[in-house]
Amino acid sequence: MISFLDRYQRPLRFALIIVGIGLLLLVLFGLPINVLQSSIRLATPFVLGSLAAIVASRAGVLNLAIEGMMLVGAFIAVAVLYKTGLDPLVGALAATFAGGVLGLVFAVLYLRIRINLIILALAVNLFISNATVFFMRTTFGAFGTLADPSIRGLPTLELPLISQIPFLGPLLSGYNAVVYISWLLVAVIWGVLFRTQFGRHLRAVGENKEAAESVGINITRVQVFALTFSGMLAGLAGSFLSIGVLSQFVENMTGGRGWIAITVSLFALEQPIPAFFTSLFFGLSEALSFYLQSRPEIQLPPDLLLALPQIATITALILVAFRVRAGELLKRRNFAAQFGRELDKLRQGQLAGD
Amino acid sequence: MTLLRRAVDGLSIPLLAILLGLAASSFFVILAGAQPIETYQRLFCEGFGPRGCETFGDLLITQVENEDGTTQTVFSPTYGAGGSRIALLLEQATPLILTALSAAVAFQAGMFSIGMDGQFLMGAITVAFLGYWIPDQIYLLAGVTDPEAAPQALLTLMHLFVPLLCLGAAMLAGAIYSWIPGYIKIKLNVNELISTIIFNAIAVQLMGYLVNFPLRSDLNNIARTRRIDDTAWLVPFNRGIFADIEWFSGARLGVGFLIALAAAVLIWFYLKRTTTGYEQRMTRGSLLFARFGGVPTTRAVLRAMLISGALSGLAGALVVLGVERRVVDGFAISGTGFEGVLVAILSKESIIGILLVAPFFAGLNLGATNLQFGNLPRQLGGIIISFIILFSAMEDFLRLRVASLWSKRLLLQRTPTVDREDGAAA
Repeated sequence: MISFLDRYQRPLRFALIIVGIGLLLLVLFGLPINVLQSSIRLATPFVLGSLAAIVASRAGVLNLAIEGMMLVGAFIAVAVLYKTGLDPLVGALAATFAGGVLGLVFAVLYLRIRINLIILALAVNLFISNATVFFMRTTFGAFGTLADPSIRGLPTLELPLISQIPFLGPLLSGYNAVVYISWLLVAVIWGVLFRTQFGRHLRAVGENKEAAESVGINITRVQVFALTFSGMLAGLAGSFLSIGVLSQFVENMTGGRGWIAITVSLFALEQPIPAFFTSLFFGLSEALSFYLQSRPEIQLPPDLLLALPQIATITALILVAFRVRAGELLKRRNFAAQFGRELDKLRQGQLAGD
Repeated sequence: MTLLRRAVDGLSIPLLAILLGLAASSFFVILAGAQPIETYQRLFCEGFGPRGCETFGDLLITQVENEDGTTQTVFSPTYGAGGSRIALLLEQATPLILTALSAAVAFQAGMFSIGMDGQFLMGAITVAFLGYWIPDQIYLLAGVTDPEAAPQALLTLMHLFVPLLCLGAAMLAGAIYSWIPGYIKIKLNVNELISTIIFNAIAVQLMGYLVNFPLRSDLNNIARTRRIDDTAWLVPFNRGIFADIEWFSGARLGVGFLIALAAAVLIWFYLKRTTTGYEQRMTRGSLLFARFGGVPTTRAVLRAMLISGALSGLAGALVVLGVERRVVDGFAISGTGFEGVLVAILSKESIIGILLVAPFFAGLNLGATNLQFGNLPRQLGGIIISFIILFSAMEDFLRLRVASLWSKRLLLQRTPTVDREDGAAA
């Protein structure tokens, strides 16, 4: 299998690109424009969540509490708007802040008190999923869903010039502010990670802690920053779920999106820009399952459609593993081949010397 | 003596964690506008106490009023008028014990698999289907049209073999569902934590589909499967052999609990007293070391995943065969599998610990659910549990802090003499 991949690397890549473009065209022209729009919209939590996962794991911490951080953002956004009735953007800001605080607490518990990372994440997720419902009942007296006409969702913004472009206009414009912020953040985080000194330090901590420490990087500070920032991103993603779509909070409304976001970051090999496109794919699969549910003439059970993103995720995980494994094997083989050549050269040299 | 010291050593941190967890959660109780001590008294009484339990003391010894007006002092756990709560919490602890054992086996092979929920559901739905399908087939083969009129010999035989077949099938289903994440972890290094979480989500959706469409039995508002045949039913004690003992009357405690205990003993023996169990524990310690030592690590890990899946499947099967007798839509959100993971974490994967912690969790959940009729939501139980887990995971920190406090005190006691010596030297 590996040798096959090795031999036909170029034609395979070419074929994959053609298939990809074909699929893209099929999706673009085969589906109604509102499905595409909603898939871009639904991709936003994945974009922000996977950025959160990327920032944390680039700094050497696997942040498995993204689910909980998203949920806290979703809850805080609605709770703040319900209590104060302020502008929805304030809700998004509050959610970002709350996620950041949770990230900071997570960092302190992990780095100072040294709780096992996985157990810590499970406990945090459990705590948040219970505490949000607890406060929903005790503080707001709501059962199952926290909704009120006074909670306004984020308004959609039409971008002035871009919305005039004939075909791409409706695709690129007409979302709420968090969507545009998420696009901006992809570029910003890519730039910071790969083009600034701080980003290099952060990646160095993730690559090799001891080496980073030995050249004078304060790894604790870097990791605390990364976890806090990761929490802020996840909180923002959560606020999109609650006030970006329906302007209400539902019990456990993240529904595993935090875990999918982690998978997205793994699939994209922890790079922001591929993560963005992977998120679009996941948004598309979610939008498709909603679209197919709304079409009674297509007889498909809704439960199986809702499993679609999950099945896509596990397939993606296996494909990533193949990709990583094949890369490792290729590297090893190339190294062996080169080493053999060097050895041969050495031997010949020795023979010539004799 | 060493045994006592080990017991104190092992128990001190979990007990401290429970106390700290309750203390931290009392913050939330106060926020909800209730008195913590009072709330906890009610919580524990509702979870562990006998009828009419009011204070912490009633958990152990209660004054009860007899029918003729005289009062009598009884030992609470054995007092069973109106059905003991202990029986109820043991009924709920049964699947928890099994899923916790399942988690423990997986963890002790170095696999952080939390797929117990999915395997539990797979076992449950398998049994919910086979529980009526196998008897149907047997009746068809034997030419019996009315099960009521079937020959007694046939019924007795079926009572013996149908539950066994069902349990076996459920264990197989769970094992297969757990083998897949294990295999892709071994072969492709796919993170087992994430893959098992996804498998759980898929199982939930699959279950929803099966209950709503192919296995739906009637047009009941909430979709449900057909009730399993009487011959597949593991009759609980209060309907069967102990029907006249009042202690059992309120709970559907049954053979399942005994099976769970037997499984605990077997798993202890497997992990601690067999070569294969040693191999898998060694694999957890250090994969490379084990491999160089000649341990077939791949096989050890896959075996552990199969056993773990079978245990979770068994848990699901026992819930359906012994308690529910059918699967209702929404069964999937019970989260029994995930609670089992938490039990295993809190008990540090020790078998005795699991047998103690699982009833504790069951009682806590029972108490919190009954508390809900007051003004506090059921989620208080989850909050307490998450704090207890956090504090018990702080074990090293707590030990270090307590130890350092201790040594500081010693240092303070010693300092004056040191000073004086220094002064004398100067």
